[in-house]
Amino acid sequence: MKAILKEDFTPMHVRKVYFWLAPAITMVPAFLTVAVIPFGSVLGGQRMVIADLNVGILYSFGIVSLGVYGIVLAGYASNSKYPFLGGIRSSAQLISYEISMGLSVIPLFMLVGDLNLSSVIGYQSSTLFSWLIFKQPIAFLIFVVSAFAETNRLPFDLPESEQELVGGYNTEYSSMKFALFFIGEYANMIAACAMMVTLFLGGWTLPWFGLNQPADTLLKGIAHIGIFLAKLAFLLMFLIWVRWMWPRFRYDQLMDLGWRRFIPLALANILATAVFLWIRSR
Amino acid sequence: MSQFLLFSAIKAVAVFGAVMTMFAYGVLVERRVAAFIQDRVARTASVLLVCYSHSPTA
Repeated sequence: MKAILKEDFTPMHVRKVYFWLAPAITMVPAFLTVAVIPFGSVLGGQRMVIADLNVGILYSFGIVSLGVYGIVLAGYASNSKYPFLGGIRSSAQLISYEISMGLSVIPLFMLVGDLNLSSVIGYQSSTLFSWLIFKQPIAFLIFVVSAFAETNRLPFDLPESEQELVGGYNTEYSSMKFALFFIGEYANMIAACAMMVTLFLGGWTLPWFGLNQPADTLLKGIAHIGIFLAKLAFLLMFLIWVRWMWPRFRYDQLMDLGWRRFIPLALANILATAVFLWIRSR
Repeated sequence: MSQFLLFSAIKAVAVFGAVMTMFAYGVLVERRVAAFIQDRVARTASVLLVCYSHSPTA
């Protein structure tokens, strides 16, 4: 409400069309990602997912990668040095960590044998130790850290680091346009947490009280949505908790972690999973 | 077909509402606790803290 009521100020020196377009390009992909995530089993005969795509994870990664354009465009359109530096930092950071994030989930789909997110939940539904966080802890670690970098959150909030870049890519923005960036950041966080719940924490299932099967009553359907929201809230609190506790990385440390540690680690994890599956199939 | 569109629209609105609600409360919690950790509590909260610290049970 505060953001809506503030004056919508557009500086004289900006490239106006791109300046207006950038916040929308940042926010919309974050909401589109949530569309393929199953947030419950069945309620009133309806499956609790907006679009149950066979290539759900590919869709998510495709859409998430569009978010960087909004930030880069904001840096370019602002036509001043701090947003420009923020935009450049952001493009390097997001592209770097997209690779490790993408590589980290490959072993999961090698185990599940399907790219559909409902199938991933089905794979994890039998027992607690079927959850992929226990089967693929390295993948989870890489995914969590990459999620921090992808959402521009502390300790990786270098594109908008206040002490160095004023506000980074959103320095020239005010009012509702700034709020759109802000909503986009949080929607990205929620989407990343929802994806983690689905991929690693069993989604809407719980291995007790028969809650690991699709709901046959209204109460169970509501319980499944509650379970999903509880897991989501837990991860969201974890992301927020890290912001309270951790200082910001240096940019070279960020790049070092992404390129020299996570990408080789993710590749080794893929190889180890492939060898394990090959041995198991013999 | 129209029923499919209707239910899809209802689900989309529900998810959008849930995300926006989580966004609002997430921001509130994040800022409140960060302020508390850094000893810069809001005026209302600081009054409560002063009252608590001067109470006989504190």
